[in-house]
Amino acid sequence: MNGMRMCGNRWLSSLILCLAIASPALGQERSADGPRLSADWSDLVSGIDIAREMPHGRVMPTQAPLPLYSTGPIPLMAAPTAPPQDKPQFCCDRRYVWATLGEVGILLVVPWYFNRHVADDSTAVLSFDSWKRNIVQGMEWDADAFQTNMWAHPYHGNVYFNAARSNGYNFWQSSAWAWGGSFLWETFGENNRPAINDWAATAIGGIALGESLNRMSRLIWDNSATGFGRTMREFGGFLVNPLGGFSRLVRGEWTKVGANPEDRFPTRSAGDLVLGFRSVGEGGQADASSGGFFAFDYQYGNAFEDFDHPYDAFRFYIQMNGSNEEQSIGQAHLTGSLYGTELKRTEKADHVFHLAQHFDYVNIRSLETGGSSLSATFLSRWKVSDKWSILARAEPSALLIWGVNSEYADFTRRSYDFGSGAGLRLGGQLRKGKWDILDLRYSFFWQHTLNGGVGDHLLHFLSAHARVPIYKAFDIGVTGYYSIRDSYYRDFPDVFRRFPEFRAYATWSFE
Amino acid sequence: MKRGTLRLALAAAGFLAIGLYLAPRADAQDHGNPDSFWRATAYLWFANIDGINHIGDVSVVVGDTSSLHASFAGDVQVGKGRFRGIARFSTTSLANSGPLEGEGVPDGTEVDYDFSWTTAELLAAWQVGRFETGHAFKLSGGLRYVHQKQNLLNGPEPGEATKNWVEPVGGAEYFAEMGGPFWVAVDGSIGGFGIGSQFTWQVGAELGIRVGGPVHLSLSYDYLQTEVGTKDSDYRWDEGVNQGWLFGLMIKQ
Repeated sequence: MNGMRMCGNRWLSSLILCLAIASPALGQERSADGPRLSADWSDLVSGIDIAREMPHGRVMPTQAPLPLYSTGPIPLMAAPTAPPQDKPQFCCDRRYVWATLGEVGILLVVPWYFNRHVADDSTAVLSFDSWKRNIVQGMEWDADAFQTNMWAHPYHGNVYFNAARSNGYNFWQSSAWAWGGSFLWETFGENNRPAINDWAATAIGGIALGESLNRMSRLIWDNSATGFGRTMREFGGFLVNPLGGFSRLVRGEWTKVGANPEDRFPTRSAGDLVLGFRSVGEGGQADASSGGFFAFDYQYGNAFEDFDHPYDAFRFYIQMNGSNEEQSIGQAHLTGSLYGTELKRTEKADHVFHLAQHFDYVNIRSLETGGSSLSATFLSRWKVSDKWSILARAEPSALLIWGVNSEYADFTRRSYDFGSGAGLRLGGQLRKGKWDILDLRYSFFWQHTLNGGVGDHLLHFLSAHARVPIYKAFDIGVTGYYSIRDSYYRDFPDVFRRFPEFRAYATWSFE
Repeated sequence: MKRGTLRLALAAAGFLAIGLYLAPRADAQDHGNPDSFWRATAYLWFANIDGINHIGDVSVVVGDTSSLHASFAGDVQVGKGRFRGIARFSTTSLANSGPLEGEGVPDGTEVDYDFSWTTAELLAAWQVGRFETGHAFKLSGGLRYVHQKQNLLNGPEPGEATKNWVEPVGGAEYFAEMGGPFWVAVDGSIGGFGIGSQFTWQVGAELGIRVGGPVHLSLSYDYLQTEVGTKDSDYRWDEGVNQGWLFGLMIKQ
């Protein structure tokens, strides 16, 4: 209990301190360059990270800078010494349950307050009767838009997750907080019946988004940095991981200078910025929709080497579409390793296994689909020669909570059906040096409808990618997609749709 | 205040009181799957049932939006190494009245009914990952036996409809220590696949506290949805839901 009280006191005093902008560390200069990552990088096949062959060492954290201020006696010969450290300067040496509860409480109260008093939303009018009704009636499936249920809710789950993650809880424990926070909101945050789809999508999707954003924000935050650069890093990390940034703020870590955590950097970290043009056909009309797109494709860790912790290896892809689409966020895909192990290693080949978590979101005019799934992921790479290699993956998957378009919105109350089911993701790459000469992917998903038009949806996604290096980190590429949706309804006519897509783009790769 | 609500409130208050009184005296239970393991849990279940049950030419809306119904559930788990055998049992019943629809049934017809829903599961689970951590992740699979009985007490077609079936089920469970005596578990499963029922989907979460020695108390929520029968079946549920709050008394060693 003492520790909890200390935490609470520190929390409050840190908040006041930060609001007063009273940290002396603001005036310090950056004392050391940040660690640099090796030029070596891995690539993915729309899923778990498949590493390049070059050996790669983990980058060590920088040294803590020398203190510029001292609260002790001034020595005659001022030799810079590190301040006494009875405990780590940065969170967390243990779990801070009250701080976590406080932040989750804020995450429940602030949205409710906004809905009730700013948006004047009738669902935010709460009473003991509404709480009792929600407890008694139990859960149902709601009718919110696809973007709300499959993107906004998982993002909200991410902040519950990171409220715990940034206060000393590990990945698995923070996952439980995502479930709990979502459950509390569904039951007590609104006066309509709690939605089972919201609970599941918020928690499971929030875990995936939460840990990946947590890892990315840790790359941005640099405890050893000072001055304007430090401030920019804190704000940058806050944008990526708001709850992590908030926790750092109230603990006074935005201005505190010290060592970075040893596991701050993954074995690999790199990505692509993609700008291009896409043409999406619908029902055989290849010119049905054309426009620009921008994508951010980030790869963290190495699935052939990193097995220690969940999300030591993951891939995060987000795509923004041009004006030809109704939704700006057209696609988001996230795959992270929950558990991994080596299967076999030889001089010429590596085979590994991962239990992987997937979050998928596709919201374009021709198709709404996505959700959360788990897969048993088998990855292999074979070294053909010094320059050439072949990589392959097979991922049988379980769809935990999933959504697919429905033409029968009058019946379902939504433009999509909710369901669960199974899938299979396959991929193969032919690689020369750092470049994927050919990248083939195929995915199949079966969704049985749980809420909506009773029936089954079968989805097939086939794609071929080719990229050619142009100059240093720049390359150009083309991709062809062919997507199939076959929907078999018990009470309505079946629906069969086909969506060809062509893309041409330029890519800048960063490490 | 209705009796069911009162019981729920009393049970919740008792759970919190006992838990908070005993919590500082206990540490969290080791978990995962050590050399040998067993646990037994009895649950007091406050459940509700939702859905439309099609029986022959008529259908009746089943459910109660005004109260929860006291029911019972339990589970026994034994294990060694990564393996664990799991047996689960639950039963709930509901007596209410609801609208009856069907050919030749006048609009606005209400019917009194009894409905009971009993399940028994035999599962084998396998722990994935490491033992020496504060959590455990298990994959499981097995069989679920289901017994449903709908008794229409009056109306144009009074009578009883009983349905029994066995279906495959597979799922996953995650368990984590949360600090001190607290722990949580989240589980989900799918099943049926046209064998027994057409499809089932289940998700649940449990918050537990070790109150001393091998004794734990838990509060959980469980949601099970099932689709039974095809369009032409004499007995059919499209979205039959069995959900509710469970208060558990658990012994585990």
